[in-house]
Amino acid sequence: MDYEFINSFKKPQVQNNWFLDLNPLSKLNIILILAIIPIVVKRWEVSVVIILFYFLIAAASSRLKQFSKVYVRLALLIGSLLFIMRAMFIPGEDVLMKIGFLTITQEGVDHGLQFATLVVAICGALVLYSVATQARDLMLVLEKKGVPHTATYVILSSLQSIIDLGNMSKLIMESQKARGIETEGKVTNRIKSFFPILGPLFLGAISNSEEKAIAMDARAFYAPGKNTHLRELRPVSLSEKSVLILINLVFVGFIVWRVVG
Amino acid sequence: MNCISVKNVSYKYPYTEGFALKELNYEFEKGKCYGIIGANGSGKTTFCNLLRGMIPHFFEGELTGDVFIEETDVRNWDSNLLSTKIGYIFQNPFTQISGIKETVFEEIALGLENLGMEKEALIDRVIEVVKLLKLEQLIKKNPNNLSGGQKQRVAFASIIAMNNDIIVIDEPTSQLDPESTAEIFSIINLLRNQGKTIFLVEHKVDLIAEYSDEVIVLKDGQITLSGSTQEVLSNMDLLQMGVMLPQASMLSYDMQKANKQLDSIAITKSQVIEQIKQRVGV
Amino acid sequence: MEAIELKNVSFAYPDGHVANEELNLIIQKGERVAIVGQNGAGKTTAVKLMNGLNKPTSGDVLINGMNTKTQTTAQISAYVGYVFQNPDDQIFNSNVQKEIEYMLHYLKLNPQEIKRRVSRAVEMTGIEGYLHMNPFDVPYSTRKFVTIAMVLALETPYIILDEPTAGQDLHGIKTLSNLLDRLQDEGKCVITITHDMEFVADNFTRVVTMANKRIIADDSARNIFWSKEIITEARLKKPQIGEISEELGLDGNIIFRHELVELLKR
Repeated sequence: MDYEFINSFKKPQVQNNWFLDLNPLSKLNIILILAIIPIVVKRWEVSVVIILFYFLIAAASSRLKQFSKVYVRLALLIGSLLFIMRAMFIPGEDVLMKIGFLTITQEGVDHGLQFATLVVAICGALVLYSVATQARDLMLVLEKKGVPHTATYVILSSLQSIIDLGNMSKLIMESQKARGIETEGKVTNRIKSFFPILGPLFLGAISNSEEKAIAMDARAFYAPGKNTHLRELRPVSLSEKSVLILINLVFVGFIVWRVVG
Repeated sequence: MNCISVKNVSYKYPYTEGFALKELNYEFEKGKCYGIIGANGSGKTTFCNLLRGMIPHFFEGELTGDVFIEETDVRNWDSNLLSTKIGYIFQNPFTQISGIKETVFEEIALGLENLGMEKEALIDRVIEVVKLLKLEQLIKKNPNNLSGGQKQRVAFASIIAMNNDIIVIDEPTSQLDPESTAEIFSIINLLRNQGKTIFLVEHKVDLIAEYSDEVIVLKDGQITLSGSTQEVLSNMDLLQMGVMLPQASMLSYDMQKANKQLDSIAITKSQVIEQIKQRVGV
Repeated sequence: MEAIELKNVSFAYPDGHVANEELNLIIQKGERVAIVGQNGAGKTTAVKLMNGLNKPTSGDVLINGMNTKTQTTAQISAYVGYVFQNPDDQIFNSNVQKEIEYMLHYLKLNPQEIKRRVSRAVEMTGIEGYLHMNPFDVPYSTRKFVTIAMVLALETPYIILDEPTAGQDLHGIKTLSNLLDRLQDEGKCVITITHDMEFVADNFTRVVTMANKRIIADDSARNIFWSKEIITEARLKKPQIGEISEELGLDGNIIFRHELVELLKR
């Protein structure tokens, strides 16, 4: 038996990385500030700096690969889409070029750039948080803060259901093929074969969730009294608290300065 | 001491016609293993739901008669307490995994966390159960990625960890291969030796013959036959109730027909071998 | 040739996990074959190779001489019907009758033909009483017969049943057994995966045994159950009559009760 693994539960769970091991709520705090700054400043240069900063944090917490994998694609897709929409349709006086009925103006380009980088920066905050924080850690902290464990269960099990539903839809797609419904080739075939699977997918999910409720009841899920936790996180250190307070103070100061100034 | 008594109970699910259980009477003693058999649709699972208080606490509908769990009327039990008193394991290995834990060790610990057990004691208890069920190789694995047989063993471990006095087990092996089935039954035997009261629904009568003390046969929601395992599983009327007799019993009857009558109708493999040895002298 | 042929077939999932290695097997039209082995031995991936859901990573699978690599699964389904292990994965109509008729309408058959096929399938599976129910309200063990009926109605020359015995009671087992006999009389080939060794002994003469991704034996039920090596490697269990005979030290590789009684009478 792997006692090293078992004994790891006796100590707080750490990954030996300063950023990853911050309390999930501290991380949330910092990342929220990073997302709010470009909203307040409204300059594309600032958004870009924040975006670069995400990559830095991701690298520092050795999550660069996971972060880039999701974020680069998302940023390119959303960023270019928003930029093009804005650049094409915002009217202005400084005309750059005309393509048919479209008139592209300097104002449009400026606005597009600013808006696209802003949205991309906000998305980055979400992506960074999701790769740097395990959902179960966040839920653990929330439970300690008094969120009922039924609520955290629903959230955590929904995350698992996304995986389960994916597997199930693959299986049902297979059963469609096996009974002779063409799902390969033309797009129309795929679409036509997709709709019938929604029924069994959801009915299956519903009947599973009733069984799951019964199974969880048998695991004393509704037992009176407070539940305990096998995993525990590092208590928030004094230095983490003070640095966080400092960051928040600077941020509030910055906001006040922007609003007043 | 009676652990559960069922007195004159009938039950009808909401929005259905006809009763799923009819006029049931039985006294269940502490520490025995009860086999529950019957054709599909005869009310076995409904009976399980009754024994563990899911009727009337989870399933509404019409319940008449009385169920006493440890001398207290089931209606007066706090349903949340009942679930800590009576363990439940069922057919589908997939829905019994919580889906929120990343290792088998944590999965087994979940019930104990819910019971509020302190960490040190909790870890010791999980280790104990892991050793008991020989799950050492699995503890670091993700429970969501296990095979059906492995999931079912983890489901047993998770319930056994909670140390309930009463365990209801509904067709635990119907999805499993012969080896996993044998593993599950050795776990059931372990529970029996620990003095737990066990209710076991199972189609495999050869296994019921080996492991249960008493057998109850259901047909159309009624108890049509009940008593000691020997008595019930040697009764040819079972076939009329849609239940197969153990191979050993059938063999005993066939020997009778062949004018080589055995001392009695044997119901288990070892009994029948013993008797054939005596009778035929092979 | 009218047969399902597996020639040196290996199969790996896209993630590289190998599920089947070097399968060689010929199942003739009209044959009845059981496939046994532990969970995870590769039985389901092997039968999915036979209906084109899995395409071999190396080697070839031929159905009546046509290579599955050149066909879509839907095309192969005209020859090979497949009943999934879990009926819930295969059901998507709001009542049982519609479920059975669905593909027949899709294939644009005429109403008389649809009627004939449905009544044959329903009669063979004994689900007359459930035709107007929602399949999800039908008890689980009967739901399996709904999907069997659905596949029977396709009237394919080859039928694969994936663990039809799971959770079945005496009546269900009898229905399956009669079904196998009827299909054999009609000249259909049935390939059945099962964990129920008594069912195998009672209903199959040819048993393909799988272990660790491979076919380790392809022989009569009697020879399989009396081979210590095969039983150990595939982690099977002899039918109980076989175990009793073995412990009594009897000769003759007995697997049936009447054989045992016959021998003991002497």
